[in-house]
Amino acid sequence: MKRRNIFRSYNAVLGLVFLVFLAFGVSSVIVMIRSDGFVPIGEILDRQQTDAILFNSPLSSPYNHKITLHKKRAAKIVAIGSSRSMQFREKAFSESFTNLGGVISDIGYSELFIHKMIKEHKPEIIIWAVDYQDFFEAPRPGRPWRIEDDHNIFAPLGLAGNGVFEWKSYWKLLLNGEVIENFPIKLMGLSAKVEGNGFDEDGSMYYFGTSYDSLGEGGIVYTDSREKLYQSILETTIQGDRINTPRPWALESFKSIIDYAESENVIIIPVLVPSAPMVMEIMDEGPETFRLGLDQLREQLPRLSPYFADFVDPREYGSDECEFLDGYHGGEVTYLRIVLGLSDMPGSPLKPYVRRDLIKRLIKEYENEVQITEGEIGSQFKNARRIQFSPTCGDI
Amino acid sequence: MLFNSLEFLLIFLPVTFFGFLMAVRHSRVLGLGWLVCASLFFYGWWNPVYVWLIIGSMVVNYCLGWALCRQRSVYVLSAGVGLNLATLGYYKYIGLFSETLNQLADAQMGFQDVVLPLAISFFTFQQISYLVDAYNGKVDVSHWVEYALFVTFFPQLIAGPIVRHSEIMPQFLKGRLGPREKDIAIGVSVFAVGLFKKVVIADTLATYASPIFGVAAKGVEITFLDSWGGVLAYSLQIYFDFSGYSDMAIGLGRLFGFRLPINFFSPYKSLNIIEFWRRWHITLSRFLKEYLYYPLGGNQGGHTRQFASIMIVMLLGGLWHGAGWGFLLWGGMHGVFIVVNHAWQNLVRTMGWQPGRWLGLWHVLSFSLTFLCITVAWVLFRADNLDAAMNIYRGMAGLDGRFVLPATYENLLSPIVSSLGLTFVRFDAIMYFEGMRQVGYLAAILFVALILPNTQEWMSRWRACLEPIPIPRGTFTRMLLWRPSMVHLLVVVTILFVAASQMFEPTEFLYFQF
Repeated sequence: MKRRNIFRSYNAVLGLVFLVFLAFGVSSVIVMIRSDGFVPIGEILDRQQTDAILFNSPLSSPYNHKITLHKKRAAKIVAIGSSRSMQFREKAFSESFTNLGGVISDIGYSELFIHKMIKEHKPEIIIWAVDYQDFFEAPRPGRPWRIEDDHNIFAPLGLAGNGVFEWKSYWKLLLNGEVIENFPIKLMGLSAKVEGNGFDEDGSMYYFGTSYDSLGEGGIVYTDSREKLYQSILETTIQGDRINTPRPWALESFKSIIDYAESENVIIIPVLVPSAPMVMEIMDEGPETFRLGLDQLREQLPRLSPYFADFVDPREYGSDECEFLDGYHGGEVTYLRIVLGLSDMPGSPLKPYVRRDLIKRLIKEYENEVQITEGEIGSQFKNARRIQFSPTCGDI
Repeated sequence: MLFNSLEFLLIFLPVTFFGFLMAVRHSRVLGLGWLVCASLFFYGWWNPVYVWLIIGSMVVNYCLGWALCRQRSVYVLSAGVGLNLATLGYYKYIGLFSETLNQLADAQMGFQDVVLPLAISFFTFQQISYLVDAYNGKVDVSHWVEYALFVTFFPQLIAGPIVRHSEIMPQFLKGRLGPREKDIAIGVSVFAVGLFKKVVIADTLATYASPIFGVAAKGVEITFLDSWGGVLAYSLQIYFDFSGYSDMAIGLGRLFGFRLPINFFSPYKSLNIIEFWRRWHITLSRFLKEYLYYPLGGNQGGHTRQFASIMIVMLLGGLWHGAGWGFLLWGGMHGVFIVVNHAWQNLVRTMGWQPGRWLGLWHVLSFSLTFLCITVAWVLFRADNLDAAMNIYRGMAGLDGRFVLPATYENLLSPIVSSLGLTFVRFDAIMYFEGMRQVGYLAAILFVALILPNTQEWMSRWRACLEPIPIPRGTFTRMLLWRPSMVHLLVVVTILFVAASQMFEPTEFLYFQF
C-alpha cells in the first residue's frame, strides 16, 4: 500500500511537469495562429499585391517564401545572396525584378540555391551579391534551409527558447497579438511581427521596424562601434579563427556557379557587396592581415567570371557611413548607387533595364540617408526620414 | 514523427496513452486495436503512402504464419522468407544495384529514385523471425489485432528492438492489460534518460562530428586533429543516439505496460569485438545468429566453416544497415575483427596463456584496442561515400605529410613531432577542432559511457526491460540505482527540463535511416 502511494505521488509530480510542458505547447500554437503561421504563403503573396504588407516568414527562414515568390513573379531579373542583397528593389529596374536575397549565407549554399531557383524559373539576369567573408570560412555541410519548419506549430516556442527573440515579445504576441503597437504598416509572419521589419511584394527587405522603434523609444540604432568592428575584423582574419587567403573550395564553388549559369544561358553578375566606410578604414589602418585576404579576392574573382562588379569599398563610389544600416549592411541608397554602377559597367547587360533617371533623383534627394521615405511602404515612415544609424555618421 | 519532437511528446503520446487507458477498460482487443491505429498513424506521419506497404506486409505474413501454424511446410516458409527478402531487396537495394550496373556496364537502368520506406528493415526481419518460429512450432496462431500490434507497436517499430513473437505475445494476452502506476513511473523515468542522451549528449556530439564528415564528402582535405576529433565525436554520438533511442523505446513500451527486450548494454565497455556484438544492437545480433549463423553451420563445422559463416553474417549484417559499399565494408571489417578475435582466443586457449598479475593492464589494452577498432570502422559506416571515408582515413593517418596542431602546442610538442619526421603547419589549416574544450567534452562523455551504470543497470531493481538485469556491484554504484524516491524524481524532472530546453529543433535518430 505504501509503495503504491509512493508511485502515485511520483506520477502526480510527473503529471504536473507534463502539464507545464503542455501549457507551453498550447501557447506556441496560439502564437503561431496570431502571427499568421497557418496562412499559406501563396495567399500572403497575393495579399501583398493589393495591400501594403510587410511579411517575414514565421521562422525567419525565407527559402519557401522566396522560391514561391520566384515562381509566382517569374521575373526577368533576380537578385540573390545573403541579407546583404536584400536592399535591391524593383523600382530601380524597368523590367520585372524579384529579390530572392536572405536565403543563402555561404558559397556552397549559393550553389544549391541557384540550381533550385533556375529549375523553378529561368531568369534572364541574376545579380549575385557575394560576401567576401564567405571565401575564408570552412564549408558548412548539410542542408541550409528547413522547409518543414514552416509548418511546425512549436516553432515560436523553439525560437524563443533558442533566444532568437525575447520571451517578452513571445508573451506580448500571445496576449495582444502584436509586439509593436500602432505600427503604420500591416505586419504578417512571426519575424515581421516581432521585429517590425519585413519583405515587400518584390522580395526586398524594409527595416522600418528599426527606425520606428528608435523613433519611439530610441532603442535600436547602428550598434557597431569602432571597437566592436575592430574586434570582429580581428576575429575574422589570421589573428582569429580564419585564414587570410581565399579557400580553394570556395573559389571552385564560385567558378562552378558561373559555369552552371552559363550552361543554362543565364547571365550572372557576381557583385562583391560593400562593408561600411568605417570597416574599410579599420582594415586600412589595422595590421596588413586585415586586408590581405580581401585584396587577394578582389584580384582573383574577376578572372573567374565574365561579368564581375566590385563594390566592396563604398568610399570608391560616394556612399558614406550614414547610408549604412550597420557595418556590413548598406541601406537603400547604397544599393541604388550599386545598381547605377552596374549599368555603367562597359558592356553591362543590365544597362537597358535600369531606371537611371529615377535612381539619380533618389540618390540626390536621399544622399547620406539609410532609407527612402517615398512609395507605398516608405511614405508611411516620413518621420523616419532623417534617421541615422551610425553613431559616427556625419563625422566621417 | 520523432520521439524527441514536441508534437510527439505533447500531442501524439498523451492522446495515445489516455486513449489506450480508456479503450482497454472496454476490452482488451479494443485497447490493442487502438494502439495499432495509433502506431499506423505514427508510421504514416513520415509518408502516408507507405502505411499500405506495412499493412500489406502484415496481411501476407499473418496469412503465411497462420498456414505454417496449421501445417509445417518448407515451401510456405521459403515463399514467405523469399517474399519478405524480395520486398526488402527491392526497396533497399535496387537503387544500389542499378547504379552499380549502370556504372559497370554503361547501362541506363532506372530505380535510383526508389524511396526506402521507414523501418522496412526492422519490420521485415521481425516478420521473418515470426515465420521461422511458426515453422518450428514455437508460436501459435494469434488474433490478427495482436499480430498487427506485434509488428507495428510504435516504440519499437522504427528502429527496434527486433522483437520475437514469443516475447511480446504473452504480454498482449495477459489477464489485466494496461499500465500500473509502477509501469508509468518506470516508463517515464527510462524515457527521460533516453531523451536526455539523445538531445543533450548525442546532438551536441553531432556538432563536432557532422562538419568533418560533411566536408570530407566535398573532397576537402581533412587535417589530423580535425579527423580524429570528428571520428571520436561520431563514435560517441552514435553510441548515445542509439542508446538514447533504445532507452526511449523500452520506456515507452513500459509506459503502456509492456516490457521490450534489451537492445543496448554498454557496448563500449567490451573487452573484445565478440563481446561488443553481444552488447550492441542485441536483438539484431540475436536474429543474425539464430536465423543466419546457425543455419550456415555456426561453430559446428570446424574453424574454416565458422570463419566463413562469420564473414557472411557480418557482410550481410553490414548491408542490412544500408545499401552502400561503405556499409558492406563496415560489416566486412567487423567480420575480420571477429574472426581475428576467435583465432586469438583459440591461440590463447591452446597455449594456455594467463594474464596473471597483469590482468588490469591486460583489460586496459583489450578495451583500448577494441574501442579503437570500433571507432576506426565507424568511418565507413558514417561517411557519405568511400572517397569521403578514405579522405578521413588519410587525415587520421596523417598521410598528407602534415601534422596539424594549434600553434600553442607547437613549442611543447615540436621535438617529438620533428623526431617522427613530421612538420607543423599553421593553426589556420585546422577547420573545426576546438582544442582542449573538445577534448574535455569527449573525455567527459567517454567517462559517462564507461564508468557509470547504464540505464538498465540503473533500473535493475525494478527491471524496466524484458530480461532481468544483474544488480551492479559496488556501494557507490548501488547508491545511484533508481528507486521511486523524491531524490530520483528530482533527478528525472531535472533531466526532463534540461532535455526540453534543448529539443526545439529535433534531429533524427541515426538508426532511423535503416
